[in-house]
Amino acid sequence: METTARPSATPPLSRTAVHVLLAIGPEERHGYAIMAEVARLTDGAVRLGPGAIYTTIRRLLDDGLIAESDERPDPELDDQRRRYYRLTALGRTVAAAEVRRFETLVSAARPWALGSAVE
Amino acid sequence: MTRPASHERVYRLLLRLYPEPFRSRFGGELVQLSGDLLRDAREGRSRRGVVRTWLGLVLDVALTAPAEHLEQRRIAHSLTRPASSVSKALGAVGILGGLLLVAAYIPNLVWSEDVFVLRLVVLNGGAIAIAIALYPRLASIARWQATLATAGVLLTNAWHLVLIVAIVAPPGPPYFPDVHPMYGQSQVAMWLADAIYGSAALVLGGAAGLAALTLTLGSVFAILYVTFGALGVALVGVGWIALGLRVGRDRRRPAPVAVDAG
Repeated sequence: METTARPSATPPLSRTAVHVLLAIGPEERHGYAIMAEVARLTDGAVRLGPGAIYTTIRRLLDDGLIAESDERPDPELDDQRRRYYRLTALGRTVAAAEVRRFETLVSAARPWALGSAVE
Repeated sequence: MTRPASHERVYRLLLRLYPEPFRSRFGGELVQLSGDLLRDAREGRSRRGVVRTWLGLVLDVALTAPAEHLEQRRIAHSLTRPASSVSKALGAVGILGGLLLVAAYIPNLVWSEDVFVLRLVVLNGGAIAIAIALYPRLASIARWQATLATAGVLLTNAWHLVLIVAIVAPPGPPYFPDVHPMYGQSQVAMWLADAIYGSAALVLGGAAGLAALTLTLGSVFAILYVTFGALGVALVGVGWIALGLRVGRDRRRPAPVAVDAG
């Protein structure tokens, strides 16, 4: 039975938590890959340090939004000591709710914000 | 090969600024990730040089470690860990002891020799049970205060319990132990230890802190036996009941709410 988050009842996540959640996305990623993906998604504007990454991962794990992946990478391709993280079903729905929030915000602000910027 | 080792040593020192549970859970990954960043800086794959990367690592720890400490304290203070079945049983004994203590001080209700002995036995057992059940949570906030306060409650309540059994339990005519000099001393020691324990348990905050305050006030009143004795003992009962309820309650950290999609 699949569950979905009710956006209005979902506690808002911190900006860093949203970045990490969206950086993991549909993949399984380790800390270094999450850090690189956050930088890529934000065009280099946001660069999280190891402490920021792992304190956020700790919180997302405790809230059940992400889980540690059981599978380990091929030892020839990657370091076996790395832990990989993936979104849980709840994590996916919370991520979707966050994206909808952004969409609502952007669609409301786009006409005047981008319009005045062009002028 | 010496560079990674020296980096690791220095970074592990920095990691000591994090709370121990976080360090033991993520320390290895943090060391590995910091090593990756420094390697990128040395090999020119990062726009930042080695010095700026180090400054970034120090700043990162300085900004995130205090928040992680606050989070650990918040978890400990709000009793968010689920209560075990043992804790629930210990809490139930404490509630029963408090209830009997309060009930025994309602005039003309259950005041008799049998109840007098029973309520004191259950009260002492309940106080000991709650002190044992709450110790891990109190110790996670302030270890030494928790140890001293808990030891005081255990020793004085056990002493009082032994005297009750030794003086009153033997067959014969009903005998109220208040007339025995050693019993009076054990009572004062017990109320004093309960008051100290209540003060130490104030750090639990919230409803548990309020229960601890009630216990402290009740114990102080009970020591001033002549003026506020009955009120004090009843308050002690209420305090133990409230603490017992907190011990037995199963609270979890609020998580994002999910609803069935069908």
